[in-house]
Amino acid sequence: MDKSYNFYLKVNLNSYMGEWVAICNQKIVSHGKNIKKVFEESKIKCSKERPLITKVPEKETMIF
Amino acid sequence: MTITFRYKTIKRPDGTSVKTPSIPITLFGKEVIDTIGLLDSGADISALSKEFAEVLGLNITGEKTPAFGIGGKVDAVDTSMKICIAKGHEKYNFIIPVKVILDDYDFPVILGRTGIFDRFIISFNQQQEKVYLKKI
Repeated sequence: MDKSYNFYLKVNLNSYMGEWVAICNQKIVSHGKNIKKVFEESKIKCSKERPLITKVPEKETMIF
Repeated sequence: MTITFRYKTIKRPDGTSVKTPSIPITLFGKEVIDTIGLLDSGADISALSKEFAEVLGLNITGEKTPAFGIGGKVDAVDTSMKICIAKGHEKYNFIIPVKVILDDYDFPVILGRTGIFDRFIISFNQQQEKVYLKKI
């Protein structure tokens, strides 16, 4: 996961706010509001590597 | 040993930015998902959205319990999950309790105090945009 995490730290995600993004092979391979679709699509596109899947927050996340 | 992670900066279209103390984690249910967890010292317990928990394959058929947050009261299910926090040669696997929030509010994985902050001494350096985790 190290390569995907390092890519995540560097990449500009502002156009994905509010969406789930999937990263593998140092690129965003899937994104969207529906995590199930993003997860399934990324599993197909990242056959040799487990994708890093995370939500890009729209605003500060404050709960509990 | 102490492991260090950098904050993630997300620039907004309006020119402002949000900096989050988030760390890479691997979560284990019926599926295994590499994701990013937001360290939240204000959260009593870790939390997942219902959609994320379903994709991970956690059992969320347990009794509904109320959870209270900034947005008010919501239904939740208490469960647990295995988590791995790793960097370099350091790797820590353990099981933590987690609340699965049942409403439609979708949010990143929240890492709260129970199970996380009692296993590590966690220090936030907001100025340097780094977070440090020292295993207790």
